[in-house]
Amino acid sequence: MKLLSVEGLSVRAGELELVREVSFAIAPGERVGLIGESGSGKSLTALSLMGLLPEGVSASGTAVLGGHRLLGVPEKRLKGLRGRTVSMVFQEPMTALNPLMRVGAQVSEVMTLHGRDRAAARARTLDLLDRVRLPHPAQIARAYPHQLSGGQRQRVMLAIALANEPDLLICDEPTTALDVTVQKQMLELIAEVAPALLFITHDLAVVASMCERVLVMYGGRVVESGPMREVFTRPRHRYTEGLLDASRLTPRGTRLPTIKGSVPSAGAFPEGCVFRNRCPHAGPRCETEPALTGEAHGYACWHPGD
Amino acid sequence: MRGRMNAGLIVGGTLVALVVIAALVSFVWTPHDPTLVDAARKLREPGGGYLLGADKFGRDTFSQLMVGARTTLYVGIVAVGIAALIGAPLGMIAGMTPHGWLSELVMRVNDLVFAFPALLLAVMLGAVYGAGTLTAMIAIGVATVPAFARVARAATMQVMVTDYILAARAAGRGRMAIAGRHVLPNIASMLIVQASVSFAIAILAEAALSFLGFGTRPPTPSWGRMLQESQELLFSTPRLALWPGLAIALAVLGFNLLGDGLRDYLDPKLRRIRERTRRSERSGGPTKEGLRGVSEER
Ligand SMILES: Nc1ncnc2c1ncn2[C@@H]1O[C@H](COP(=O)(O)OP(=O)(O)O)[C@@H](O)[C@H]1O
Ligand code: SF4
Ligand SMILES: [Mg+2]
Repeated sequence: MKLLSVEGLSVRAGELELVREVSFAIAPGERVGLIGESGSGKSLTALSLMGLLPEGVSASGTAVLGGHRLLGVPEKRLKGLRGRTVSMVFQEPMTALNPLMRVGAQVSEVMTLHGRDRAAARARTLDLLDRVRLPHPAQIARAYPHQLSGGQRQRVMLAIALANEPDLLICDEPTTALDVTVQKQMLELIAEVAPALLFITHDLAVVASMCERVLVMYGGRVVESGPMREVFTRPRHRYTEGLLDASRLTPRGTRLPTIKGSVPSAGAFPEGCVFRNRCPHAGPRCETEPALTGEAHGYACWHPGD
Repeated sequence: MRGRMNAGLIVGGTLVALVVIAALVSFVWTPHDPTLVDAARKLREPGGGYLLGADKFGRDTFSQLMVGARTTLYVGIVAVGIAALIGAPLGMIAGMTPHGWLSELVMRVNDLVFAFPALLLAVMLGAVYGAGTLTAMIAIGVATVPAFARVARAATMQVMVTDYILAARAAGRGRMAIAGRHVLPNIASMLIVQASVSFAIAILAEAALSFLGFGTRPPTPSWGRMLQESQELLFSTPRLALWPGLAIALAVLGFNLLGDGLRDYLDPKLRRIRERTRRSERSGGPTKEGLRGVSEER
């Protein structure tokens, strides 16, 4: 039984196809990583599941979370699911809290919003702040966002996300904006408290430590997916291979810039295999689009590595 | 979270406070009855209990100025109140749904009203409904609506692209909750600044209308009408024009300075938050795309 199943999710902005035919599923309690360079369509995929795409951008396909359809349903229905059945933590903790509201009020609001009474919400707020390991919860609850550090604020965002015990937590680069020293603690916390997790990052080391399964995205497509260990030790798609090589540290500690070139802007990806213009193994066959093949470990590449 | 006091705030605040105090005191005490006509005191020179002298009807100028302050504030408060109550919600609606038809309509109607000078509107309303303080206030208020709507719209649009609005929506908050709890508090400072500046404009407009005979009716004292009544004596008794003129100028200056001062006072707070945000971005990881990028690329 799947908790979330996504079939043929496409996201477009007018004529431009930003995400194309993405399909995946998450089982209850499963932690799935979504990786890829910046501009691959990871955030748009997550936002379309939340129904929070920016204006002028729309999603098609089907996505079902615990029996609730997420795509093509009225805003009113989604509003009841957001923050209750599915929650999201964003990249930027410094601006994700209302600067003029006390932290505690922002945490308890998400509970009263979904039907809990005020007193219960206030009591639970302190529990939640404690659960995300914030010291002196009562003091933090009374503070304004600018009085907290980035790491503390991100913990508050996590508390808000967990307030209504959602079935699925989506994190979009939750530690990218944090100091390296706080990143690790934050990741451990997320791994510990998340019910089921869709974890977005461009940092492979992070995903390796967090997730059981991984989806590799490039050019708005899922180009490879499978169990974490298998994909990382035996990548098939040449893009995944490149990513892994690039993340490997040389003895001197510098990264090898193995993937040549940079991610094209939306709409400027080549026909056929989207990775073709950067791939060292590209051949004539790559001018037609490869389909995602393979069962548990799938990849979309004409000349896979082994 | 306090900004720094600045000269505009202090000078403007003092001038405004003087007007307010004069108006409040005038309710309980004035040196003389400001409307009492007395031929014996006609054009009485200053001195002997008549601090600024008397006008051509023998009315005490100082007392008239005090009660005139009341009229000025009354008109300003009602006019700005009308403008804010109509303009701010309209601007917020327009700002929260920048591509909706309602937003489009709001901005078009706004342009229409904007094209009408307050004075012209007041003269027209006065011609139809009769001149008077109420007509003047409504006309000035309606003519000031677009200024509020514009400020509210621009400020709302700024707030709407911030991450905390996205986070609020991710938490399941609806439009009304977002408007009331997140947008309004965060644009309030800009609305306060606008109110102060609009107040200055309203004072000037009321004075002009009263001067033209379309504003406050006699016998209610008004700075604009005092100016008008002093016209024929401008060369023989210039002080009769000087004092109300000075009162108008200082009150307008006061509200304008207060507006500027408030802007500087309230802004550093926001600026500091923005700076801190930028700093954290710089010290963070190497790639900073994500939602910020998404909203900027639109
Ligand atoms: N509102 C939008 N309109 C048009 N293009 C967009 C919009 N938002 C994002 N994009 C484009 O879609 C692509 C994927 O963006 P995104 O999902 O943010 O990537 P990622 O999160 O993997 O870095 C990028 O090329 C980006 O420029
Ligand atoms: S399909 Fe061809 S171009 Fe694409 S990754 Fe595989 S080898 Fe490279
Ligand atoms: Mg992103």
